[in-house]
Amino acid sequence: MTTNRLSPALRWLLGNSLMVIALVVLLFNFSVYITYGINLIQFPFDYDQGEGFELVDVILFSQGQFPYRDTDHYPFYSSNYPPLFHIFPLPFMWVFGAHYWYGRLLSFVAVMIGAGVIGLAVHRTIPNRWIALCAGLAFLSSNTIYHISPLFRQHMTMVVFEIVAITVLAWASEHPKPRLWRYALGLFVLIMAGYTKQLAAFSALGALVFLCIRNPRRGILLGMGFAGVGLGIFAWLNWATAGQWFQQAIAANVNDYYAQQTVGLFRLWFRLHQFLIIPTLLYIAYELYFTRLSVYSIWFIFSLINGMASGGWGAGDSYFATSIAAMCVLSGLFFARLLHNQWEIAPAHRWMARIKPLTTRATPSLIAKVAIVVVPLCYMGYGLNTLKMPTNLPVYETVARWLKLTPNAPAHVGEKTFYDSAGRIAGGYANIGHLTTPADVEAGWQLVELIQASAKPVITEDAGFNIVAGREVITNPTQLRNLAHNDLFDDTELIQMIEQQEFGAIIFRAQFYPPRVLQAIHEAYEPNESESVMMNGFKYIVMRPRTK
Amino acid sequence: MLSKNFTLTKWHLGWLLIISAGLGCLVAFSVDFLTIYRQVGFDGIFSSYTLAHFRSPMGIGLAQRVLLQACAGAFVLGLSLLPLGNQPA
Repeated sequence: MTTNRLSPALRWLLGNSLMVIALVVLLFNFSVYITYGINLIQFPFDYDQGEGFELVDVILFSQGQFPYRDTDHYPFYSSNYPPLFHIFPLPFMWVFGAHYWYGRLLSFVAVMIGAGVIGLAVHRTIPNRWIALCAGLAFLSSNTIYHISPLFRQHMTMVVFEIVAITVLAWASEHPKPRLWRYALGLFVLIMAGYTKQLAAFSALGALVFLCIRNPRRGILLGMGFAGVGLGIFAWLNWATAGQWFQQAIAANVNDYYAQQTVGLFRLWFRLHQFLIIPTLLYIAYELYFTRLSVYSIWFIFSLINGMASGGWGAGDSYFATSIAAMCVLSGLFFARLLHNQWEIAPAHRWMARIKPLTTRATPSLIAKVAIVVVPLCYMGYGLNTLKMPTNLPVYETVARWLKLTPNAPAHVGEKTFYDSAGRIAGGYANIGHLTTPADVEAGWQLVELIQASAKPVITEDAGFNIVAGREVITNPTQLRNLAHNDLFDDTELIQMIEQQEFGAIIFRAQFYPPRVLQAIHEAYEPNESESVMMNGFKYIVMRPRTK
Repeated sequence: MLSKNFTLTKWHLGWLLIISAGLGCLVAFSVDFLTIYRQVGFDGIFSSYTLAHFRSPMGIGLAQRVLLQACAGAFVLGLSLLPLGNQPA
């Protein structure tokens, strides 16, 4: 960094005090993240729709069974996600039984490791502890990352594998002695990401494009190895499940696309992260025109394809998580280069001859001085843009009042106790992030008791109640809906059982079942308002058999 | 191109972006043909009935517009890289 002989102390004080303020803002967001994580890990039921089905998959794997099953027959259950995420919690499953806490804990810890790797990726390229710390905390501060990190869902574990894989590839490409095994290691971690969730395909594509840009021969060779291993696992899974793997995890995942949802989510993504997106784009432009494209830049560009896919039915803001990780690395690199004035521009670059006359000898020093103020301000702005907090807990309540924040996220009807800057715009439907309460736990136990009291099996749209009650989980509503949408579900047996009222109760949360199944339920069952409960801001409607 | 030391240049990347932009435009417009094909089959695509009923009401949808804008961006980006010649990409 350049030095100013006249006021080094003042410059140091200004730069560091602004950076401390930026860090305080990001650490405040981190404290909310920890509070949310601790709260959610203790919650014994589904918080986000789908968590319970992840647990069912873990249970099935612990019994040596695949969760990719024929849904045409009882219990009409199948998973639509790859297996890796469900294998990690197996030791916990064997020791503690079926619980949510360890799945959430693993995801929560994995995301913090991911944040650490983001910081490391920045620090490895240009050592600056402040920026590395801010880059990692910025990842955890994002509303999108916050929403889904402590969930028992596979998305964030996939993102963490992607972060690790891309960082390994960056290390491999910058290493003075290029070795194939380093690239192979990065690609292997990408395969792990892909077998955690299918969406990692776009990151893999970006990585292969990067390898081909650097050296097509190496890219093609590694790509062939990558495809061979990936397809080999795919073929084995398909053989071991008698074709159900392809049907459930691939064919059933073709869904309707809502372009308006994509546009809404892109707007939300930009509004929340603009203080780091703009530096990211500037950094990519720098690499594109003045030096070589890094794997991080190509990763970011391909991660935007994930964002484009966010308009699919069942998709959401989580599809931007990969781009947020790439953004944190790239903006961190941009800021670190700004502060250290470390730009790598070839002396013979065609454009330098034109740019040089526009600058003076003092220009680099001036840029670095401005950066001392601008960089912390960007992190501060980002931290404030991504603000979210409970408004009814000590300290947070005071901060919310001080910042004049109005709670806007649901906890219970008529009692909003959480502020989220992501709001609830069109398409951005992440109705999560608020803390669970003892009333939510009590509501969950009411449903468990209802199931235990039933002599007949009970269908619940969230699997958790049946798991806690020690009953069999019947159906996976979104998967049945996906299958029916693609003409892959024969609903005859399920509808027959519904018509014959073979279920003691059916508990709805979002009525995600296929239309024909929903119609059969409404004809054979009726809502019992006295048994229906509110939990986590959602109404769980208990349907009981109609009197014939 | 398949040598151990070959690397893509800004010029190569520029042309790749221009070609990708062209292909992207083709995809954006072929969606309309695919939609019509699914409804009336290949023989019916160019029938007077199809042309009268499908051409004007379909127009360019939101997803197509976004894709075409992205293609336009990639085209301009590609053009801007061409003057950088053999600088490694």
